[in-house]
Amino acid sequence: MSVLRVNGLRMWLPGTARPVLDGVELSVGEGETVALVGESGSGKSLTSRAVLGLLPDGASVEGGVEVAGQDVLALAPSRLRELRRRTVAMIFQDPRAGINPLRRIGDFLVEGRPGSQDRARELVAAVGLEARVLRQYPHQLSGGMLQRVMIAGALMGDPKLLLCDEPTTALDVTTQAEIVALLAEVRRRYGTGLLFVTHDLELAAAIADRVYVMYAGRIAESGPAATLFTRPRHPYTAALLAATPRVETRQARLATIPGQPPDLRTELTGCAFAPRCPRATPQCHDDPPEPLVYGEGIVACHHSIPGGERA
Amino acid sequence: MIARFVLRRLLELALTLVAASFLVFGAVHLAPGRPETFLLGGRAASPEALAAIRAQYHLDDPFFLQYLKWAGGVLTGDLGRSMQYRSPVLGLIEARLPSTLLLITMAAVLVVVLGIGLGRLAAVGGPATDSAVLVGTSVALGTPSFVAAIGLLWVFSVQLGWFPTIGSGDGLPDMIYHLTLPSLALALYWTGWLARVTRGAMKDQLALEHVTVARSRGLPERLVIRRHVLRNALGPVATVSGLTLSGLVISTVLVEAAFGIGGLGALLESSVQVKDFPVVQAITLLVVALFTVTNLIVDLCYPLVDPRVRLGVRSDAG
Ligand SMILES: Nc1ncnc2c1ncn2[C@@H]1O[C@H](COP(=O)(O)OP(=O)(O)OP(=O)(O)O)[C@@H](O)[C@H]1O
Ligand SMILES: [Mg+2]
Repeated sequence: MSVLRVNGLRMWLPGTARPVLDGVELSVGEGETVALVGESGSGKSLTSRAVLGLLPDGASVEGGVEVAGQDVLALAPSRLRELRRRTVAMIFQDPRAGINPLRRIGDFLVEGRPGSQDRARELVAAVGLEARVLRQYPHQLSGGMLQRVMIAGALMGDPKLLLCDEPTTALDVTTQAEIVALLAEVRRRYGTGLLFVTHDLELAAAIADRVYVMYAGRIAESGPAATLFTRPRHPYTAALLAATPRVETRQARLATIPGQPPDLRTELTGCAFAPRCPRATPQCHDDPPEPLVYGEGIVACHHSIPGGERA
Repeated sequence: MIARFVLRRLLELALTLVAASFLVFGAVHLAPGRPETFLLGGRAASPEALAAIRAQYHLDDPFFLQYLKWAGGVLTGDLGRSMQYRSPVLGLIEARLPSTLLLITMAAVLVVVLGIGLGRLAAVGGPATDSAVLVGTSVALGTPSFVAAIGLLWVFSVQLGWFPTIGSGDGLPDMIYHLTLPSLALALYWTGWLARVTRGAMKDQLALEHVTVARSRGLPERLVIRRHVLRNALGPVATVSGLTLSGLVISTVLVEAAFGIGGLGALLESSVQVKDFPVVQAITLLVVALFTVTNLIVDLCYPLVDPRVRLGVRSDAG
């Protein structure tokens, strides 16, 4: 059974010519780790926030987002709050911006959960912090410690699904590794499903069971982490991999693929990646490719790479 | 730590008051016009009579000596004698202080309650409410307090007869009744200002990620607004509230005149006109003292509003 099932999610923002999310299909199984990767602006954050029912002002949506069997986009406000309290939680990119600077860490953790002081103490220890941070203010803690606090806060309601939107991007490299290890430990210990949004393909390969590659609001390719990164079928996945520097010089941001992702003010007729794609043909510019199943993966491409070699 | 900070600030406050008293004294004495002409009421006087008056008020002493005599008196509670009323300044001030203090207090309460309330309404009440509050505060900011006073008087006293037109009443309930319209006139401008500041500060907070995080954790919206948006907006609101008090004190002069309230403002106004310098000096010094004390209180409150601010070190972190 899946804890998260996103079905044909479309989202329109005011003043744009095309949906910013265009038919996103995605699922996370119980206790599974799923990575969502793609360039900046591809819609990863909008997707993960939509899972919590957090939509930008003026957005209209179509399609379904089911968390533990409940349709998030159709829930009454009180039911939605209950879902956020108990079933799904989110960890954001910048922990320093995410915790109210005027309140103590302890107040942040137990907020909205009267009588949960013991659980807060237990989780603070579980994420590797000392109990005294409960009495401290955010400015007294480092970024890595604050991200641990965020993780503890997310676990307060014992959620089935944890959304992580680039949880390590704002941290230095050693701290990144610690936080990733902690998240893996959380998954193992509490059986939480993880949707992990990241720019970092190597990180995705290391932590995820399955990976979704997003481009311009659409899922270009998805599949098991092992095969997707060794044998990419979508030219965009291949280009991303080719643009990723090897281990030693790993960077938070992706190196460049020639060209720019399409602007939201232009309509798309065919495949969103066609203008930048080395394999593109006139067909690619005219017809949007349908997702096709290849083994355990799904690829939306008219000319997917046979056998999935690197481009 | 706190004790040392307070001590340092009290010392600063004392120095400020000394400097201010010197400036006040100097300004009053440098202003054109000779006080003894008023005392004589335009009558011709013999040089002996003039000299006697000048001696009584030490007008022929060197400037600095005059200042020292006056400052020494202030320190021992002797504010001098009014030339206009021919009685001690302290008594004149004491008689007028209650109505002025009540007026300023009522106006300050109105400003804080209405200003923060309207600002909050504008920030979270949706676009239509926001526009309505913006229009309302523009009107408030564009209306000088004496115009507001005349408008209120005309509608509620002259036309509807709900409130008295003049005077400040006897006994607290009657005084409050008499001072209702004056305090509204006084509060109008500053309410508009505080509402604008509150609205802006709350909108700034609403755009911050910690508010999104609070919502993402399933907190009820009214709790998010109260605890994370309004609470975090209090920094600028507190600063502006301190400034507001100074503004209220200054505007009382006009409002007291419009409503015929015999308060400190009216006393100051008439004393300036006749160059009754002991009264002008005393009231001005009182106002300066009020400003500096308010400022100190705001500074002492800051760490309560924001734990990142240690006493004496105001951080600029938002
Ligand atoms: N509140 C908003 N109003 C208008 N446009 C928005 C809003 N939020 C996001 N967008 C636009 O939607 C697109 C997708 O944004 P999103 O934040 O989901 O990208 P992302 O994949 O998370 O990128 P990044 O890796 O930079 O975080 C971007 O083009 C962005 O400019
Ligand atoms: Mg993002």
